[in-house]
Amino acid sequence: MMSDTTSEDHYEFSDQFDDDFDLQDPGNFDSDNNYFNIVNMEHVKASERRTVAEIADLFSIMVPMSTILLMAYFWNREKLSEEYIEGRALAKVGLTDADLEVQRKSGQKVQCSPRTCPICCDTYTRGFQLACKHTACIKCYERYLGEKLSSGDLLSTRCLGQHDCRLVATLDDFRELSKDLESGYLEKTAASYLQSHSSSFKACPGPGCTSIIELTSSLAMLDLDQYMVECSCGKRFCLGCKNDWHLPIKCDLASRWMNINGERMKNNLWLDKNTKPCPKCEARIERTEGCNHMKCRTCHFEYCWMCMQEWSAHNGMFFKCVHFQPSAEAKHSGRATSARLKHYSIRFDSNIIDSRRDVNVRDLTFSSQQVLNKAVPTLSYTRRILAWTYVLLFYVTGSNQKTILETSVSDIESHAETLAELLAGDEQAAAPCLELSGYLETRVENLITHALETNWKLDRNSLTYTPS
Amino acid sequence: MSSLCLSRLQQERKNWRKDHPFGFSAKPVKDEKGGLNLQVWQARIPGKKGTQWEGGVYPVVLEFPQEYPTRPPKCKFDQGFYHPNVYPSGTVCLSLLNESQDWRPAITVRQIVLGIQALLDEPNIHSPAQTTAYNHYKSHPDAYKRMVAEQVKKYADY
Repeated sequence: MMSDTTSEDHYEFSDQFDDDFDLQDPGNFDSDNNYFNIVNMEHVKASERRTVAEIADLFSIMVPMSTILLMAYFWNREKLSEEYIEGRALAKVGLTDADLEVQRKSGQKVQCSPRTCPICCDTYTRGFQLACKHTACIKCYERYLGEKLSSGDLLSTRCLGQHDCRLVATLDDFRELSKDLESGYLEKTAASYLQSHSSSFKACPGPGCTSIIELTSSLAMLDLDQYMVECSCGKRFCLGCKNDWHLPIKCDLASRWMNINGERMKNNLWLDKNTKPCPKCEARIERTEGCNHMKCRTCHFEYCWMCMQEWSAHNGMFFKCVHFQPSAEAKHSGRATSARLKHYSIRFDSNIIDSRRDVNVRDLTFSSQQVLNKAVPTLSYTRRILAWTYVLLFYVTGSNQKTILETSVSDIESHAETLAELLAGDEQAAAPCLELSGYLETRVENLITHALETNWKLDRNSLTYTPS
Repeated sequence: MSSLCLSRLQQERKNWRKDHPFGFSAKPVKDEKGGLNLQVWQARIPGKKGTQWEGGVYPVVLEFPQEYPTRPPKCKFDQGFYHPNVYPSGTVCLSLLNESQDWRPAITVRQIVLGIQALLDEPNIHSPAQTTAYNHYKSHPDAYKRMVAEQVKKYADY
């Protein structure tokens, strides 16, 4: 149902609550309806190994070196190939062509007459050396590579034996040293691969869940912020931002809302005060000191700390950002916005709470299984959609479209109330319950379509509002 | 403190006492109880002969992290030190002291202080760390010379 891009077909989300919507079966490729698969880390690693082998083949280099180059290029095969042919890729990891030849051999453990380790300065007889044959004691090597692993930095694991040696410890060297180091290395490269393919792999944010949602190519091309998935662990989340799903509005508005509505503030107070997300990959970054020129460690994106725009547009102005404009209007009309915010956030909160509570009706004695399976999830789903529609109403300026949306909301709200009362009643009439939930499903579906397809004008004051 | 960090620093201390470059000094600071804190060193780096920095001796504090020598020490001049590659806080911006660039665990304290001495007269225009000195160095060489000369006087070695 999702692979088709015609408008109606996109919004059948209520289907996901039906029992027949089977996502539990990983690797189910054969149906046209599948727009994602639930896979595990082994699947990702296999995909990583294929990429590494292709590059190794292409340039006749060893697999471990191929891994390092790909990591340095953030797994961008095209860019790596281009720069490799131009002879620039090796310099990026601090190596020369001659080093590459030397690195074809892996490092080895050595027994030697007592000598002083250049790192810990103790005397040792059991040493380790990379292919360059500069030796340091084996304990220092194990510790050094272990520390590099835990910091996730696999591009500057240099020779310990000599201070100006360029050689990099690769997978082969990790393997020579110990099984633990080898498996740690493999975990980290897979994590790096996963992160740089975030447009096609989404790790499930569910607590303790190790599943990964793999998007099929047709979906990876689309705007993900309209898609919600349910993982095999039961966690439902938005494919765009990986937060709890927020139809009928898109990720950017939803995240603005979460910021001002306080939920995130409470959870991530320190993060919000001290860090900003990288404008490209959203990794949280804390700047301790330095100029405005930032380079993300995770995705290597270079940007300006003040305006969060790409760095190349700054012409080397290291301390003054030409793009940054503190908003002068923010204070003006702040009070009116604050009142509107209160109005909508009360409605948002109560619907979110109700959407959770309605689910608990399951615990009550209940005659018709059919009603349980259909009406309860529908009601909960409706509440959630209503909650996020209130957020949309907060952000958009007045227009005919907004009035239409408001009318739908109040109609849906009153029918949802009626359904809730019926469900909570002593003797449930199955027919009216089913009829009402059918009605709500249609209305909600239309509401989502309307909300997503209208070209809303956003209210400036709402967008720039920050609670004091 | 990790034992590697500690034993390496003890050895660095020994090596330094045995032999160090002329005009330099470097030693661990005293903590509150009067004992030595091996993780913080006070160094004094003289300006190189024949450069405009000659005549001054510049104090630098080396702060060694727990993960030393996997990770490099943080090196700081006095706050507000005038140099294109020194942050307003005094921290030195140098590839040799950057874990993801040229830092290697085998680099010694001796090599660090010599590296910082070389940086004084050979600023790296591609990674400026403060506006004042960077702008002077780039566009107003006279002002730059004057400011350096003033700083040499401030840190003059008597």
